Amino acid sequence: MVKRNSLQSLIAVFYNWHWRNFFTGNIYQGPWKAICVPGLNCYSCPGAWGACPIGSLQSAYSGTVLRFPFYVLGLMLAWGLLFGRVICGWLCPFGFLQELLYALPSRKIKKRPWMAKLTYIKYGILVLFVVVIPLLFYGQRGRGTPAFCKYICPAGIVEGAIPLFATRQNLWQLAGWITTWKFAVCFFLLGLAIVMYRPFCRFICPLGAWYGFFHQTALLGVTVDSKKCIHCHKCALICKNDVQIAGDRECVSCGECLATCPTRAISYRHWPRKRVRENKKINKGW
Amino acid sequence: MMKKMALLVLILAVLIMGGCGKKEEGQQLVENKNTSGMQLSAGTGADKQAVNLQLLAPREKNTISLEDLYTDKPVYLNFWATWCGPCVGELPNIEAVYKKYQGQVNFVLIPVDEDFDDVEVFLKKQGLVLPVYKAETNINEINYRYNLQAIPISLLIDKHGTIIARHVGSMSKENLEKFLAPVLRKKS
Repeated sequence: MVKRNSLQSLIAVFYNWHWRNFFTGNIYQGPWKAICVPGLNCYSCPGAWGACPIGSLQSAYSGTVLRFPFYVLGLMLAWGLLFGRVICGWLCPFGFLQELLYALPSRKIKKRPWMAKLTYIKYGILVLFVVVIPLLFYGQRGRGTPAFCKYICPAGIVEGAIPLFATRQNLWQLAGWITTWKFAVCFFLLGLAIVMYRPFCRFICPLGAWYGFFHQTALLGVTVDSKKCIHCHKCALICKNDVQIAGDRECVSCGECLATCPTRAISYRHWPRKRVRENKKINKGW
Repeated sequence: MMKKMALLVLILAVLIMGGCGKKEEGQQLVENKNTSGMQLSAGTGADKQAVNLQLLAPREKNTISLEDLYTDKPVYLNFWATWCGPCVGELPNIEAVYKKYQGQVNFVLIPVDEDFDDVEVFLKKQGLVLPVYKAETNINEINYRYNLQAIPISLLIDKHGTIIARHVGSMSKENLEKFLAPVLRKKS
């Protein structure tokens, strides 16, 4: 969809509009940084004017005094209720980067039914790396650790580490085995994104996992009219993600399934909403 | 036609938003000017005058200025935070060096935590005896003046207020001693 890609590129520029900082290596530290943008956009990116929701969440329990992250959770709730995983499909630069990589000509790994099971990993990552491990560290040494940012997040490498290492040599001496590990994870995922559609979004991203909870309640997004749906699963077959039906927790509202529905049951949500319960069983066909 | 319009809008947006970044230019690090043999890292932004800060000594409850401190003795200035792992890891090393050289150097540790109460909780928990000061100046102003793009940052300030060395990242006890060497009295 041309319009979606245009918005994604505009959003990527918009989130990181301090473009001069990419040349100076400075990071914006002004008042706007307190606002969490809806997508996964690292606040260590020189260009970023806002913060990453997942990073901000972990910051709340990385200090010496444990505080419930009311503000960040409230904002994540607001984004979820407003957009749900429309954010993934339309408002996330890292998702867009993976789509650009997938557009490169290469042999592609076809989607298989068992890959849908891998989508549960991101929920595990959300619980383990964003909540449990930081709190365990806090309990043990009196200070949490931003475990997802520190050990997994590839967006931090692409948007933070690479531009900062490129402009500030005095940071190189701080790089150790964690930096090496993070670069390896990042390049693995970016390489995988060339042959597989958005692997990070489908299987790893805790923010996508969070927004997935709002698939039935969000104001915007793809939805299926239950009166028209004949459960043919054509939307699931055409989908590059791992939906069982359009508009479920794996749907990023890219809209590619709208044209394939034989009964035109799929549309972009408007109020009052019409929806159908997701099917647990799917045809063995796909 | 639509794609061309979209591209034009994108270019315009970038140019307009780029104009919003003017303040950041003043923060650029002064790179590689210091030729002191005691430099431990490249690109350190040294050879600048230390901006004076009003500091509150929490235990004594009195205010002192950074200028008074560096006029008295050279200053080892460290910016850190309780939520920063490497900063906290470095504190015992700084404490060891502080105990050894406090007669020759004024140690000034300024946390950039938003809430200074967190710092007091932290110091109590850790049982550290370090000269930690609360800056009366707004933290964002300090970030800008001292170009705190990362922490911990260690600065060595001579008696004229010139920053003669700057190091980003934590240091071991040995490296801290090497860092302080330019201002220490040589053993005869």
